[in-house]
Amino acid sequence: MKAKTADKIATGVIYGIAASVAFVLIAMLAFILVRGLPHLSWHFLTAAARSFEAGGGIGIQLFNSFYLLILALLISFPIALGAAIYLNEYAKPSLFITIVRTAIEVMSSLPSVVVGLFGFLIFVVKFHLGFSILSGAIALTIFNLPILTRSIETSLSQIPNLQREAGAALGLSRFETVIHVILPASVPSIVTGVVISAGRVFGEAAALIYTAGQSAPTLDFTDWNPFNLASPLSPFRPAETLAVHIWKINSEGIMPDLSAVSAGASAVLIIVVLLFNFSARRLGNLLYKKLTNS
Amino acid sequence: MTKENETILETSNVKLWYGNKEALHGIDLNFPEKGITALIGPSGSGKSTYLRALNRMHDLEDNVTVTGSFNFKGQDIYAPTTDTVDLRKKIGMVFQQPNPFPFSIYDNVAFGLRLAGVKDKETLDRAVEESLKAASIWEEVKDNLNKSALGLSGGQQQRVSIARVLATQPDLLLLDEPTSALDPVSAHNIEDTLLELRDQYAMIIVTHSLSQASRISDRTAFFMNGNLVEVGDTRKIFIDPEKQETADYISGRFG
Repeated sequence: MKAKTADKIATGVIYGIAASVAFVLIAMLAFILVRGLPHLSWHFLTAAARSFEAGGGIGIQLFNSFYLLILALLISFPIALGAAIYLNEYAKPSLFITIVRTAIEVMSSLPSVVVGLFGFLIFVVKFHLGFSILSGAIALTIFNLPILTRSIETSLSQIPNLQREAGAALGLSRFETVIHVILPASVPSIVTGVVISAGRVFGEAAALIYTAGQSAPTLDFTDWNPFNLASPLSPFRPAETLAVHIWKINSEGIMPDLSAVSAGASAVLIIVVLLFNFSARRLGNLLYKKLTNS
Repeated sequence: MTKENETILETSNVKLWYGNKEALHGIDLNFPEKGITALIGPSGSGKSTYLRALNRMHDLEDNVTVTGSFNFKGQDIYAPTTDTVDLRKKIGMVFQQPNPFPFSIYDNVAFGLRLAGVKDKETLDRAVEESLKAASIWEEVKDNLNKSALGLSGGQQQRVSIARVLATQPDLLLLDEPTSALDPVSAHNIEDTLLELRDQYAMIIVTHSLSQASRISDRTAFFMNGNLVEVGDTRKIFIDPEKQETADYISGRFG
């Protein structure tokens, strides 16, 4: 009887703790959405920001966020994939591997503002890349790489060893087994990992403040030549993202509708990140079904 | 049933170490070009270990040392110049757990051929059909070739795994307890499949089931504690073995 009572109390306490975690999240989301949703409109999502008068939008910042995200993923995904394949499929225990793993762990706990300042000193100043999408994308890569590598490595390690033996026994080289058996089998969970990391990258501000910059020059959406600075595709232009914009207007914004813009932008940011997270698993499952014809 | 035929694989003085622990103590064993040889013995006797040495599966593990001579049709299996990829195309392997890839049945069986560069649709279709027929599963799956192999039952998956190996036309087939993870009916189907293949392939099967060894094998080798105790015609091993340990094991006195 005593053990039963203790069990009941413990269960209740644990439920309570779990519920409070969910409550904090839901309360925060509700707060942001309730404050921000009324300000959302097509105009707000597409118009350029205004510094001194009301009625500005977040169009350019939103575009910048997506463009930076895509560039950062284009750089970080191949590197993370290669590193993860090496660590999970090839690496044998050695001092080198221990150093690599420690490096990845240390990198994944680096404060992002440190990554940003490092990016500022190295890429912006030393390599003369200036405040630019490119500097920002490289900083985001440093920020994203360790987490993405670990997530892909976990995906690979979930494929049973039987599949590797089957590949080897069929006369596949280790590389062929990885390309033709292991990767196709792990695509769904790799995609899930990439999309979730995309959500983190999308909301990142500190790493971008000193790399992609805090200004969003007007873009000419009819000019798609990446070598023109006014083109949306130019990687050499400064590009304030949505998350940086929120930080910026809250710390030094002077437009009259400042709080409305801030609330609206926060809501958009949260909605996009939520979309990434919810779609990640669905996309993974869909891909798995498609790849396995099941 | 035993026919005089050429030797496809000669091994002598095979020793194997896991780290410092010697697991095989010098095995001498030859295999004919056609027919089934069963490797029997108690758990830990080294029969699976020996089998996996034949296509160098131990290469995938660290800390395993193999010595001795392995002559496969004039080729030294462990020569530094031997390409394991090539070798494993000639020495196919079927495992204890069915392990189809997460693709369609067709893609599973066509897998090895496609990798070898076969692109012609007709050639692939024919090879897939022949292999599935040889593995006695064609009738069950012919209308569902584009469905995932993972949707099949364990016994069907195992026969697809066999078909996948047969498609690349190996000279020697290694079977590592291919029925021990299956229900009796599926196991029986696999045995029938193997019996139909025994005139065309050299096969070496590791099995824990003495009745299986007696039903399907032409020759039987008895392993114990990392040694080969006795090898000979299956009838002779089961009815009139030379060594006392063999007789004890066969009659169920241990193991």
